[in-house]
Amino acid sequence: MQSETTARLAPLVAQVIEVEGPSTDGPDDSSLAAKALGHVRTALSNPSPTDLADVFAAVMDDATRDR
Amino acid sequence: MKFTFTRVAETGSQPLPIIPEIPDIRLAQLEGRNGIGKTLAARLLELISGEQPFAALPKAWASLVRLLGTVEVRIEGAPEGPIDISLDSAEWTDRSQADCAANPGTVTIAGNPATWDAVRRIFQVRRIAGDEGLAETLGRTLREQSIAAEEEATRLIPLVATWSDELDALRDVTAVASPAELQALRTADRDAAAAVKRAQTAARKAAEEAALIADRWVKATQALEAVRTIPGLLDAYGTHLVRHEAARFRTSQLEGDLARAGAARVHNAQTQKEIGVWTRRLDLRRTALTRARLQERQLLTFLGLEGEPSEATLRELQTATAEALKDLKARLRTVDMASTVRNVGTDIEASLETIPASGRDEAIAELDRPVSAAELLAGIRVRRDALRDVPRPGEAVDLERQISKLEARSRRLRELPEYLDTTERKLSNVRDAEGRLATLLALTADQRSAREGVEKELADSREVLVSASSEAVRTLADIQALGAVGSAGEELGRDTAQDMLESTADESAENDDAAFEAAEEALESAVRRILRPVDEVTAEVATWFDSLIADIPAPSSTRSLHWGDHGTNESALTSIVAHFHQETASADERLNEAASRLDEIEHDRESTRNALRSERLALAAAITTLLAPNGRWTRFAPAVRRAVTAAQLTDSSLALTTEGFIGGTATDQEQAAIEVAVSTALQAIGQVAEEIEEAASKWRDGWGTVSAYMRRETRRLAPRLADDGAWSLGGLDPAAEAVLQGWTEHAIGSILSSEALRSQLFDGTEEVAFDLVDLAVSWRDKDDRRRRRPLEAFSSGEQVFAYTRAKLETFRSLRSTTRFVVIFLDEFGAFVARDRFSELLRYVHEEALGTIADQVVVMLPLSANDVEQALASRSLRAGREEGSVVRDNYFVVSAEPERVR
Repeated sequence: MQSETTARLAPLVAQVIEVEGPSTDGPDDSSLAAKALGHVRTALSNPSPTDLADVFAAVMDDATRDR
Repeated sequence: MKFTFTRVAETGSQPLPIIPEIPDIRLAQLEGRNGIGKTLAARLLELISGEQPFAALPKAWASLVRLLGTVEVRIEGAPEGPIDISLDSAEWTDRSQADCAANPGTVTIAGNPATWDAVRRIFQVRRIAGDEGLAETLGRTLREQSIAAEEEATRLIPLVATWSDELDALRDVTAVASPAELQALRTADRDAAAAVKRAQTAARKAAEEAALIADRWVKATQALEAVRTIPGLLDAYGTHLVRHEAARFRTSQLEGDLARAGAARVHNAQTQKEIGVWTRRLDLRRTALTRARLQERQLLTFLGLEGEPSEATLRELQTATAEALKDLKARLRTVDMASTVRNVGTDIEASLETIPASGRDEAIAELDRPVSAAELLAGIRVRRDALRDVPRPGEAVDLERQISKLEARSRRLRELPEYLDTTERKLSNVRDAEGRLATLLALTADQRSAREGVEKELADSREVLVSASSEAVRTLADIQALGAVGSAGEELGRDTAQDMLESTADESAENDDAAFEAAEEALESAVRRILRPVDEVTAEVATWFDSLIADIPAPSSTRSLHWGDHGTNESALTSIVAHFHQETASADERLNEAASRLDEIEHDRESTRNALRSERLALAAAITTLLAPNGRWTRFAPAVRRAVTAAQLTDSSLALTTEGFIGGTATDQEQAAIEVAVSTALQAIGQVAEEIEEAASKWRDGWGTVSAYMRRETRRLAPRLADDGAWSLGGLDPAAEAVLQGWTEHAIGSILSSEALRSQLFDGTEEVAFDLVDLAVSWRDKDDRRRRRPLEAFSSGEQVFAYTRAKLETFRSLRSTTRFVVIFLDEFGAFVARDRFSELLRYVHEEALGTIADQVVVMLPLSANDVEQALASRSLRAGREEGSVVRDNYFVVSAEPERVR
């Protein structure tokens, strides 16, 4: 179970990642990266983490919708 | 309320001590030795209340989990009945601190199972540490956040690692050529094919040029040799012809003499007739023998033999010729490698075609990979087509001419015994006729002697005739060998000999006058054809020479060369031969270079084709793997399908794809489009995998960054609380640091802006701000003046007292959620030292008891050497008599102010 403290800190972590920007050696689709981070954050914050395949499907939906 | 602690079971070798009892005294003073478990008792009660007092103390918590064991706690004083709690620290292993605080163990109320919420609605316990100032309180808050962030980062490490493993595997599957790379490979393949064609054309051109120059060199050499040798041969030929004509004339005369010698005696008509017949026959048989000897001599001359060879010599000659022929053919195979390889390839192709179609996919060779029979067959056919265009070198043409000559010689050697037998048979026929004629003539000794003299002279003349004609034919053959005389030499001689052989082979024909006459005419005709006049042969040589010179586009002076001026011709042709010899060497060098270049380019093209083929197979394998039913990636199939659809891949084109593109029905253009689409889909899948992996890593590391930042700031605010964490800040991005600083300042500002602190420390201002860089607090006082004080200014005794009051105030709201509030004031020894303890107790008694808390326990270190002494020195003996607890190492007595005074 995630503590209240952890729940309060989650937006701070997201904000830190956001201002740090994309990695120099990572993918360069910043829009997709932001969406992927959103799905990943939700999945990993869940006490019983979501199946990676479901996260993958959600990000793929975003990726193909953007095209 | 009364609290009793009973240890049921211990874990570890050094069990944590805990005081056994805290009596039900409204304002109690608990004094005891250090290390007997006073603070632990208060913290366990906080834990029971749902608080996590170890949030900022992970090492202490880990130690508690390991060493506490099973402890039973009884709380008495509630109207519902006694509350019995069982805590087993083994149950806290691998659970989060927050979870353990929410549900620390089992609980009953009056013997009945109860919920923790029910317990916490009955009573709540809090502890205030007297040695914890404002800065440390704030530091503890940051410390708790640091630990929470670290726990989250730690929790995420295995999750993210598992995801990374799977995503890496997925990315490995999709690590194929991009559409641009595929396009580049296709372009390279086309360019390589064009380069091969250009190189083939260049090689063919170089070969043609080399062959042309070699041909000119050969012709010039031939012309030079002709100029050097043919004039002498023509002179010799003329001499032989003169001898031949003289012998013919003399033979004819002697034949007449012989006929007359035979008629010297008178015979009867019948005998006379028979004599005539046998004389004629003998003449014809002698002619036949002469022809046979002529053929035999021509054949021996052709073979370069002086006389009839023995059987052993003939076998040696045949063996030597066969070996020379074998050597030449071997050299031809080496020189004309293209033809040799093509012929071997054709043989292998024929063998491979005997394999049934169903078996041609079997590996037939191991190179850098297994090669199937079908692939080998296809490769040989491609190579055969390429070799077909490779021209033959000049040396090969020359070798073939030599081989042709040796084959003719071999054929003559095989025919020679038959010719020798024929001559022998003709000789026997002549002797038979001579015997019969002698019987019929019945000549006297003188007559026979005269006749024999004529016969001998005739035989000698015929021998000269044969010799002269043979020499003439041989000389003509030598001229022919130089190429100067068309069909007058070897072939004509062979045909003529064959004709004569046929005309005399049938023995019965020798009794047929007409047949003999026909044979005679044939012989005369053949001799006339062979032994033409010298002028005629010379004219033919001149025509041939001029034609040869016309085919040699050498220096312009060459054009003026004509047969006849042999000295000029030899000089000019010597320099021309030298010129073309040099040219031939250069042309051969260019040909070798072109052939090497062709080999290199063909190798390059094969590499390019293999690369493209590999990428196509990789594409097909990747998409097939991802869409395989019940495979590793079945869970991902919906997303893969989505990528496939987005790449506009239809099911039919996908079906072609899964067949591996090999042997499919798609055109090249369709195949290229499908490959690009498959690559696009795989790229999208790979990109999504990369994005997720990147995001997960960032999310994990983000928690680590927050943890490390909070830990760093904890160290600045409260060095006592900070320790080394698992994460380091490293090169923190300035923008991220600004975010973290702003968030932290806001969080601390919120704590400082609580009503209790504002009223106690900050003039009851509306809002308090915190500067994390300078560790300073700022607010506006009652006169609206801006105040700013460093945090360390709040550590004076007055400020600490005010801060304690403020903290007590923060618990005021507890009574709205629970019926009974117990507060422990721990580590307040400093107050005693500062003589402020009475002031504290007075404040608690007057301001807190009954309003903030229902029971307050002030915990102090033992003030004397032992309990009795402490009680005596502090005039607390009276307290012992009213429900107080006195044990060996601690005591609890009432601390009501009136008793203390």
